[in-house]
Amino acid sequence: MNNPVDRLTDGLDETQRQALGDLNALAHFLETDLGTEPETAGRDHLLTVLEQYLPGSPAIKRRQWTNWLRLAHSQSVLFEKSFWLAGLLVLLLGLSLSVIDGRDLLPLVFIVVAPLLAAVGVAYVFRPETRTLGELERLTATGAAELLYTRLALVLAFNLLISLLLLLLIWLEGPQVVLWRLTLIWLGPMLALTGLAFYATIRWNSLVGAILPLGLWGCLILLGWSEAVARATEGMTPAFWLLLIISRSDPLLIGASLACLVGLGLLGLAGRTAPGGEKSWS
Amino acid sequence: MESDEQLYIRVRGGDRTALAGLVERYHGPLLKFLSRMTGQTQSAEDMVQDTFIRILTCRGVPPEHFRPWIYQIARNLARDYFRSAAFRRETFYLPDEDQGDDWMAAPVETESLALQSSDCVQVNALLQCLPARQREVILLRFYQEFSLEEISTITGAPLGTVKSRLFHGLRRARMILEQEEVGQDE
Repeated sequence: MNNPVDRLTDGLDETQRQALGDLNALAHFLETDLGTEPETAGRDHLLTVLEQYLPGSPAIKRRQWTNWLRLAHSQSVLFEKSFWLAGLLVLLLGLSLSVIDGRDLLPLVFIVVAPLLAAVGVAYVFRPETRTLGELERLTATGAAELLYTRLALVLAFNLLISLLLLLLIWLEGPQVVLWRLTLIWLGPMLALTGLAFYATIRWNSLVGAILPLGLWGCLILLGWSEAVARATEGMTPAFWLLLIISRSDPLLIGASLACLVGLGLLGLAGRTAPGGEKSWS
Repeated sequence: MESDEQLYIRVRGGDRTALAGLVERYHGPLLKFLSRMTGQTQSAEDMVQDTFIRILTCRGVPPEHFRPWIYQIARNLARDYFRSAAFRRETFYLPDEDQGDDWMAAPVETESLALQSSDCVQVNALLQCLPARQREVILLRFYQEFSLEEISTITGAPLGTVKSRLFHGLRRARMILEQEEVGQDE
């Protein structure tokens, strides 16, 4: 296609072409720009730099754990105060609910709310305003997937820490509760919801990433919550005993394990969706 | 001649010669595209390097069509550049209200193109007067000769939107050029 005007307007509708009128002057004007030709030295330098990234290059070394820590530290600046404060608020809420006497039902609220915190936290951290990946990569040459997983690890680690502290409190109040089982039963939904939030945020956007896990968890709560509340409030089964039953239930344990696997699968899938520059987030 | 896709598969196998081949083919075109897109040669050089690093570190499935893919990466890096704090500090930044999105280089005021010293700089001045979304479509169509369907894939915008951006961009560019010619006559 040598005609410069055709190079400009090819593909446009006939009405659009007519509305644009004579574009000869513009096309010839644009043609005068031959562009910046790279210098040979610049190309050699580029090649030297790129060779370090070739698969199998000795320059590629596995990332040391100290580097991961540095990367985590650099990413932590993306988490605004409100994120940490929200986590601490849930910690305090769970703490107060766990120690208030005569409020057997309240610890259940924590169980319901806690996994959501992680899911919403993921959607929050990956919201559009924090998309400075290109800038960071130019500075650090760090892969996009590494950045994503580092942020994710920060969110999960923080929420895991908070939740483990609270689960510990529940366990201290009632040693009959099997802590590791209760932890796994809690971890399953958290990982599944977080994985869903992460995948949906990377695949679509943070709004979908927040709504999907909220909706899913909301449905599950609607299905099971009313009966749990009825049993607890009618005195049939005190909330603490519900926790005890939950922590000893094999079907719940199996379900939570499956949820863990689903969550991990979604986290992996999101990572495979992300690299390669095919998605607009990159 | 070996296709880009074949070369890229060899690159992923660690073949240095194939890498040199890809660099030979794409260094110049990408540099021109990004220089025209950003108006900054040095930033464009950095972005070209980042583009290549991305394709080297990509672990996903190799693309079916390499050329649109590498331009998509370069275009996304240019978008990140416009969003970057450094760019916002250096330029007057305005959100693109028409498009309901927040990435766009604020069009520079139409300065006298005739004051610029060379043809290349003149064209650059004209291009920088256009909103980035319109500019990228014109660049990909006119200089890189992508079809509008390919541009739609590269930019992630529907075909109709691409056509609309091209149409409005051309109309605006033509208007600026005509104003400039009238100014010179006076």
